[in-house]
Amino acid sequence: MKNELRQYREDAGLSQADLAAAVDVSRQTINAIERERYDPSLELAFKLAAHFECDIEDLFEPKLNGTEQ
Amino acid sequence: MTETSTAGRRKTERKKHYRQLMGRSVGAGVVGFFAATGIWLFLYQEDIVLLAGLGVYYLGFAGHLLVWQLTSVTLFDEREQQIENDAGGMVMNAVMVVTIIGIPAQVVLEATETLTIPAAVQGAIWGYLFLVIGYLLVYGYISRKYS
Repeated sequence: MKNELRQYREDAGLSQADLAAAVDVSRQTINAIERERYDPSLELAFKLAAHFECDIEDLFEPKLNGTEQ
Repeated sequence: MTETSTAGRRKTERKKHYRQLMGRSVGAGVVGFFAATGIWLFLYQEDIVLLAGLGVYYLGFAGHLLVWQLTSVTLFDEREQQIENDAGGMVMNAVMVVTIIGIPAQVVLEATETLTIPAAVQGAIWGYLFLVIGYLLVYGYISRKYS
């Protein structure tokens, strides 16, 4: 799933470790999401959106097969 | 630093601390077991030494489980749980393939006396079969939770 997490994090002046601590996951998890190696759960996606005070859709752009975007 | 991120950092430090504690507990158990075995082999050949080593080994694992179960901190995050699930699923698939291929082959080869299968291999294949049955039972139980 494409995402803008790195952009939001850097704009907020946070390190991966800072963001990881804020949403209670490991730094490796934040890194994996940013590299689009791991799709977060709904709960974590909501936490991240709440942290950056934006909508989930601003952070994540799902690849929906067979549907028009 | 905001209050939220300070709390987050504290939580991360606690998580690290508890995970270290779990590792050390198992480590102490394993070292204790080997130390007792070494003492039994080279210094003092009394059963009590081996039994004490086994006790220390179990205590180490009990400590690991206690920390894991009693702490309120989430020690493994969702990505780590996903990794565990994926790894477990892959191993289970491999076990199923070996069982599906192995059980009928073993029965037929034994019945036709084409090949004498070593007892260890037979034991492993039947062990796998029981593992698969256990897996399917647990799978059924968990799938009921989600239906």
